[in-house]
Amino acid sequence: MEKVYAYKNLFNLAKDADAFLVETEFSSFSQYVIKKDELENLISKLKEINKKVYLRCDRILLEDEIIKLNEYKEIFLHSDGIFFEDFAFVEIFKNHPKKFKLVFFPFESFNTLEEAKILLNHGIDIVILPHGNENLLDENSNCDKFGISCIYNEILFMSRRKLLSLKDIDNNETHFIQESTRLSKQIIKETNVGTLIYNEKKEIIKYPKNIAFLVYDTIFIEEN
Amino acid sequence: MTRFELLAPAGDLDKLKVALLYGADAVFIGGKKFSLRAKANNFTLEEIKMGVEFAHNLGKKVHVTVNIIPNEKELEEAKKYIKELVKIKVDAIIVSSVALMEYVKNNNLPIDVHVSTQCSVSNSSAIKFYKEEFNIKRIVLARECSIKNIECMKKEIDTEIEIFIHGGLCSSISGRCHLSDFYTQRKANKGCCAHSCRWTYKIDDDKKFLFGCKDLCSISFFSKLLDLGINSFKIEGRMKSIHYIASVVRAYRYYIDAYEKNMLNEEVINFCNKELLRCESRDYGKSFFLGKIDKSDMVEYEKKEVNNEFVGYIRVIDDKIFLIPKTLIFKNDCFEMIVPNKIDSQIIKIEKMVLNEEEVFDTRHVNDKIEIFVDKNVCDYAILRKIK
Ligand code: SF4
Repeated sequence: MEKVYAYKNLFNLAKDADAFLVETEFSSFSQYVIKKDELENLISKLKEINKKVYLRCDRILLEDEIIKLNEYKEIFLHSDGIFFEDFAFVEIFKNHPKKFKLVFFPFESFNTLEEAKILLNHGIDIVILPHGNENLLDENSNCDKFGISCIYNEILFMSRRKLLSLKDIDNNETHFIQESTRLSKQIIKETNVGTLIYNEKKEIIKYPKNIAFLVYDTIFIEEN
Repeated sequence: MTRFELLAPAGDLDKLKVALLYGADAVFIGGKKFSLRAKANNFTLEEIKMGVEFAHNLGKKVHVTVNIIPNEKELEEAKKYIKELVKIKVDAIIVSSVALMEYVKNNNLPIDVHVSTQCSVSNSSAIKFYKEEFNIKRIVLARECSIKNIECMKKEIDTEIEIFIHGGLCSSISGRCHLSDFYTQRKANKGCCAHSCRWTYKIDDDKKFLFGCKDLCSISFFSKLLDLGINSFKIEGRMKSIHYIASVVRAYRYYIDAYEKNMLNEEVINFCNKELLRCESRDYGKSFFLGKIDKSDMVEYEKKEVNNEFVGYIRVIDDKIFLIPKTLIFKNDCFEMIVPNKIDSQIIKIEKMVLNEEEVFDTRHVNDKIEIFVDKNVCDYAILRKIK
């Protein structure tokens, strides 16, 4: 089992991590643009301490972003793989070296194991099951091509619209929204490409012991 | 048919006929299961068959949405369902599940597969992936694509492209929203969205926060989309009224015909604009087509008005004229009548109404079938609306 932790900074590295998932310009969450040389540097540094590096590229890309992605292709190939949702990555990296993994990391694009297995026959190396589908696998399943996020914030909404800026609300701050007839509050955050709404509460998921990839998607969760 | 397909929504058989008669080249419909509009009436297989026969007789097409994200049980049922759709000669299915794409490909089923907008395809590399791996015929592009992006994409691919040009929008990326599920246990990806993005929220405990977006209307830049050589232009709204479908289809048909005959001018555009404003109560925006979303695309205040222009439609059965009322109508009322294939409307007077062989002086129930006598020639599926 490979334990993959969301990367935050070099001074806060989980000790039992086998790999780190690093934000990139093509991530759904990024609030800053990591420059090419910074990324190259970070990949080297993490490799020096024997950690694998995966790059979070889970955004659905527009055509102009594909052009940009081609500029990053070489650097990306220095990493151990990409966590993606857009099938463009399969097309663009279709002749990738064997040690570089294309890891499908979807929001919710399937609810069956059959679909996950089909994807493995179409150029994808590892499939992380979408949240809520963890029970598709059990201790008896062959899990060597599957992963699960065992800790994460439930994302409720992802938009390309910058909803805070559009409403003249400070987009650097974390804000809470509340549906007017309900008590619960959710976090709304603007990224450099849009807006996310998510639950502050962290979800912790049970997983089969033989799972290939275990993702600690703690990007918004403060560790203690 | 022109080189552009005008693709309209239809929530039931009457709407299907209206869409095709008023100028759509194809309709998209949902069956009782597996489609993302669980609240639309939707079609039984028998009704789909009737719809396909009606469309094919006019040289037009029917696409069926099978675009839920299925669970194990639904997936098996959906495969059987697709086989049935093949038997009744449906032209295309719109899917988002790779298992269904693979199923059609591996079994060489004679039906076109279109990738649903739920898959959020928005670049040429993803299009190539679907084409090469699943042999799909057409991609319904994500609604986040700009004209510039589509133009660049078109240079890279030879796959058919379909885009939404009119109607309601998600403020999220399609398929990336669990708000409805979270608040109401109604899953958007199963066709049960409660439109939670259009509700009223508070931000930071005090300020009102609305983040729904306005409906899309492309008329003001539609010629730019036609210039790109996109294959199909889709109107959203399987839950919308017959009046809405007739008006929107008619406006875009008029525009496309004028464009193709090189007769597009201000007058045509103004007519289309006016028609599109008359049939909708929600405000219109331009979505991402011009590159960036601005404030004018977002809903600013809660608007609960309903559009009350539509008063009823006509059915002609065995030489008798029937009115299907949508509101209270009195004898001697006059209305504006629009009919298929004509841009000019007429004023029509209801001179007599008969229900259950008795003369009546007003309509009592919406959707009753009332025999009427009028002062003009009418045709099947003529639409009556208030005079402006
Ligand atoms: S709540 Fe709004 S954004 Fe979410 S799926 Fe429904 S319509 Fe789309």
